[in-house]
Amino acid sequence: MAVDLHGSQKAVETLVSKLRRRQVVGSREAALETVLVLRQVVSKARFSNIDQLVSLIRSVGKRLVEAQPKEHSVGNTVRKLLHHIREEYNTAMKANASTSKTVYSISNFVLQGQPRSQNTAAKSEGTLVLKEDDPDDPDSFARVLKPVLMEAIQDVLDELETVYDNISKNAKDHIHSDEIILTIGHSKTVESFLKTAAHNRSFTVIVAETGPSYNGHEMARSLSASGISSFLVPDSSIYAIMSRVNKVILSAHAILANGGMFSITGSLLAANAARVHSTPVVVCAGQFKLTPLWNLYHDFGALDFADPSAVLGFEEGNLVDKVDVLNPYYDYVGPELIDVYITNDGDHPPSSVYRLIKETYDDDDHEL
Amino acid sequence: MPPKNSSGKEKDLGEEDEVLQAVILADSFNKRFKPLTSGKPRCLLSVCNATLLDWTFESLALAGVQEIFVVCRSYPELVKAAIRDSKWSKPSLGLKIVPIITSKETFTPGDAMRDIYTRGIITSDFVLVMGDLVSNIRIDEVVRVHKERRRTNKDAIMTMVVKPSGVTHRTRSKGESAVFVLDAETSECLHYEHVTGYPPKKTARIPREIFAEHPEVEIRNDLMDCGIDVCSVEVPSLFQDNFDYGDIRRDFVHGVLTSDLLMKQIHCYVAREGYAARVADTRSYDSVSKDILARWTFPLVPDDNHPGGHSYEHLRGNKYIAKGNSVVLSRTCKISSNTLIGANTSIADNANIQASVIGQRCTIAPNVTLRNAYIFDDTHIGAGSVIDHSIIGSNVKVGESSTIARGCLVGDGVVLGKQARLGEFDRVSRRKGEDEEDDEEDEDEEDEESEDSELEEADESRQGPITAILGEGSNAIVWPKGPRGDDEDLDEVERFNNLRLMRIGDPATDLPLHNEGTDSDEDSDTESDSDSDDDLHALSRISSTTSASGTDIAPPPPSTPSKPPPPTTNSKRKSPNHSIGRLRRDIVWTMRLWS
Amino acid sequence: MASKDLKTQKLSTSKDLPPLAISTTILLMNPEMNSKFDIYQTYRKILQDEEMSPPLAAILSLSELMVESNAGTMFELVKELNDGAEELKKHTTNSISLNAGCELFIAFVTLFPHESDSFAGLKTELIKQGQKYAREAISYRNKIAELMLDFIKDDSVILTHSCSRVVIKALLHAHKTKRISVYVTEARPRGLGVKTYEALTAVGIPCTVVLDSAVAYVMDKVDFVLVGSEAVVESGGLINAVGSNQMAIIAKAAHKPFYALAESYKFHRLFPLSQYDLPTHNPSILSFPSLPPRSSVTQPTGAGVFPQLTKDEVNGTPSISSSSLKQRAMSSEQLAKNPDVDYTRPDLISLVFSDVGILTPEAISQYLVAMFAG
Repeated sequence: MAVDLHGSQKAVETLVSKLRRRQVVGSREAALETVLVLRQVVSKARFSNIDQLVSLIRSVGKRLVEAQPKEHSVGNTVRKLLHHIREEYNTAMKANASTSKTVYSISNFVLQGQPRSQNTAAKSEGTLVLKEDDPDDPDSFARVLKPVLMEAIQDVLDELETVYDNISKNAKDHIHSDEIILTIGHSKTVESFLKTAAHNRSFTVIVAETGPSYNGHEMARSLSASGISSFLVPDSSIYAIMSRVNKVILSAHAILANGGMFSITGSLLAANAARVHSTPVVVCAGQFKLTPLWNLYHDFGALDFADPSAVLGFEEGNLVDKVDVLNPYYDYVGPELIDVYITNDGDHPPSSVYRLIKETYDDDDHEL
Repeated sequence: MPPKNSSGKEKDLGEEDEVLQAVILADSFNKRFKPLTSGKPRCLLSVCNATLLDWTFESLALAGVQEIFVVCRSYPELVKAAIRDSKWSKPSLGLKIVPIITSKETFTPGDAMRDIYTRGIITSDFVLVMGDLVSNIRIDEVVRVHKERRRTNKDAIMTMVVKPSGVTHRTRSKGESAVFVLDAETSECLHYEHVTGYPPKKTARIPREIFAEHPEVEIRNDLMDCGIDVCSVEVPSLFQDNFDYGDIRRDFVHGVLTSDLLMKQIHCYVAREGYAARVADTRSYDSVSKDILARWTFPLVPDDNHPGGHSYEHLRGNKYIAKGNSVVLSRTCKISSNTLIGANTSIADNANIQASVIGQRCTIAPNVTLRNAYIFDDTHIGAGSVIDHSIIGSNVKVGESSTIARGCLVGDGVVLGKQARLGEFDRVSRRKGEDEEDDEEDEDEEDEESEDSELEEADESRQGPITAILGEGSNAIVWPKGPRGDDEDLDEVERFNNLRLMRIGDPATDLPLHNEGTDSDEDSDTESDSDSDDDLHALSRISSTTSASGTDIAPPPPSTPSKPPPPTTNSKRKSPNHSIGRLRRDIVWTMRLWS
Repeated sequence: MASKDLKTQKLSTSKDLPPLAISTTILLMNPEMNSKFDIYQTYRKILQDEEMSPPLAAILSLSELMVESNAGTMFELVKELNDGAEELKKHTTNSISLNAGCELFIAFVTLFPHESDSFAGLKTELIKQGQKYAREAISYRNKIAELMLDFIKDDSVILTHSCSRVVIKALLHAHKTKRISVYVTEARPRGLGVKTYEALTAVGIPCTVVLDSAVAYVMDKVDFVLVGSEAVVESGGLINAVGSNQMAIIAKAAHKPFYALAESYKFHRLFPLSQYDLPTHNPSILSFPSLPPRSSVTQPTGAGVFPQLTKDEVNGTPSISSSSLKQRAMSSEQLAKNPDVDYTRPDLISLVFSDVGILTPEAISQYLVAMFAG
């Protein structure tokens, strides 16, 4: 079977190198780039049945994920796309013919539950004529399915593009007037959430400066520029200041299957301090950050260590030889420290993250 | 991910539809890595299990370079094969790599540049690097700055990338460094003075005109030369016009800056962010490896963007173990921090690995101790051996209970018998004649070796008796130690004592004592001093020296305005320069001229 | 969790166990079995296979029962199966995991889509399904071991409880590629931890048996806790050999992950709220004896123990000599007042590893609901 990759191969490789070199940073940007590359792959791909298409996308996805396993949104996007593609395919096939013979066994029963839930699939009036593995016209399958797939990809793209707006739309319900909010780092999501809330409420934001990147400086500047009263505090005072804080708002790099998350260093400190003072911890994150993975090692830094020069200047030649300098990039914040995730599709407690993940992705895609 | 990388990510270098070219001088033009480099070129030595060439390619690819010319002299076939088989030649990467094979008579980088000129391959501004670069500096940014400058100033022909590293940084070469005199505002390089580590150089001579023409001047001795130059097309032609230009820095840069006729300018780019260093000698091999393991080169680290394409798992304490469960670690072996272990390597019981790099498919037998050792692929270390601060080539077999003391270099394919003993700084390689494929290059070496061997006994008094015991069944020969008979005739940089400052594991603390009153100070002026111990300190062991050199004419403290040097009768550029004071590396002088 | 099947095996094979109250009762009941198809005997026979676990054995036994059955309608068949399940339950004191298997199979039979033309055909199909599942399910432990592998990092120290085949399998699998060390609790009174110890040391995994009472002592040294299960219930909680609960509580206090391994046929539709809601609980467990006359209390135990104890105190170190151990061991009546299994609340469990995937405790209920609700 000829799977023509030439056109899209280059796009894939370019993204692979960008990911490896960390030239694409931030989960949303990585997700966007992934969708764009996959769109190119699908539009150029030649396939005559669904399995070929799925395995093609999986192989591209695997390539991308291996290039940068720490940028979880890449894999999530691939999984989500696969899920959408299968869905489109299934509705198209259902409309065609209901010849699908489900093998019914106890193990399936355990996995999928009672049989009636399977048989009552929605009857959609699809007009597509799908024929897999047509020997006369091997491209017919792809030709018919592609427009639908492109639509599905566009949906994913749209979701990513509107993610900040959708997360922020209920901001005023979460932030009340005269509240004191603490946040750390400079997350676009949290930034837009706070700015949207500021349309209706007046509140105060305390921004921790978030060493060693000191992203907090920029966050405070940006918030105060849009008229939110902002304080900038050093990270070391998070604990002390917590008693005055009404709410902690954090961002996530990836939401894990157990409801915990990876988040910029300092988040664990803030979340733990909040717990001591029983301050609610709210996490703003798009659903593309839902990751069907686990924090394998309960190790600090989530095993992503950036370059130490942010902590200790390279000029400090004397020290470099004698001290091992670490610059961990993420904290792992466990589900017990988080009260709620505010996503672009509703608010969810950490305990229902597993359900969201089950709905969003297909089980067999967890390992690409 | 560090935010700094996000800046300028969308920078499109092709906005003018110009292909960014780079030239890699893949040959070392020296013999510092012998005998590791007999049988393969230096650029194919592996650093953290990826060849230097791969590291260099990655550094350039990071900057969006699209066309790379690799100038190779020795073992061109190996280099060509390596390029062909590497991931870099995949068409999908969009990188065009052209190996250029120069003649055997290319002895200096200058010769290579002349060769490039005659081939006429350079069409625009290009990046010139040595084939030993490990860098994550955004060279595209340097190129942008360079081009910007060229727009208004056609005489700015070159931009050198330098990095403030502090004086005693492990990665900064002790044997070979330089004083840069920069215009504080434009970072134009006004004067370049090469500094050799031994004999200790105490003075820098700076032409007086510089102070007359530039209101604010920085004299910096804390910069590390990254060996990355952005050059314009004229540069190769300048080499062509001046046949005596050999070294790019000492001859070309110095020459251009001191020439009255050329009227060209060279600028420096002081890189505040990022890492760039050259693996120019065995000492920097050690320190660059350590920097990589300590993640200074991020994202070029073994677990993220390993240039060789391997994948490693990063464990607490900067330990890197190859992924895929192919590494066999025994239960009782002890792996300390800053260690890298390649795929399919096995480490037996009670082995103790400290801050070492181990290649792929190696076997480390029980009770072995490795400290700061670098072991290439497919090597076997026998039970109970101890290796300290040494580089062991590939396919080496070290017999049981052997000891390899610090600073040793063991060439590829060497077999050492049981209970072999290599003394400090011994170099061993496989005996010639076993392998008939040796090409001309090697024959050259052989001559040289035999020449050296004759000298061996003469030098014994200096270095003590031969310390090496190769053990039974060894196929190795020991290279002579100590300076060569023609040491005096060699280039200053390549002399034995200076090279000592560049070899792995050599603290060289004995150096001044050992050579007291011999060949130093030939160009020192009146303040030539009684205490040569201090001198060396002043140059190569700086941090302790600020007080030690108190007797010298102290340089003006930083930020204190100082007078220009006293005028002399001769004011032409070529005139004898003025010595403005003792050289102290840890000080950046800022001088403001009294007007 | 294997403790129960092992017990059953020992009943049929060896007699060198301390004579436990439960085993005698079972043995006594055996002769009652009569001529017609004896589901309990079948069950016991199936369990003699080392690899077989009670839920699977129950499913196989019920399949056998169907072979023998001459029910003509679905209603009759289901009734017969339910009776068979009851029969099995009656014969075992700890019916929890067996029950999980029975319920699964009966639910499956009830909900199996009727497509066969004849009822006999349907029955054959169901029997085939039951046997097929039992065959497949044997491999679930390998699947779980594979899932577990990523979570076991090199050089980790693991604490486990008693003896569970799936845990042993996971540890052996991890041992192939990673260096692990294991602490296992002795698991009084049956001492099954020693069995784990033997299995692990045989392949070269460093293993130390610790007292059940030393769990808190050892907890700081371990990276995580790994236990098997008798059943996983709807709340996401865990039913396992007694001692698991305290282990989970200590692990939680020490911030160590507590992982449970459970094949999906051990998912059990039960919602215990406390230890005493478990079906295995009966009034005699933890009951206080009616105080016998004073003399009889002090005579048998006190006489031997007191001098011994004072001697220990003089020495300053409590030595455990074999003689004193014997004298101080619990009597079978005392043992009988103790539970076999306990219930671990879901909030103490970090993750449940099952052949259907890695699940948070909350996620268990969705599988049970899908199978049994409605």
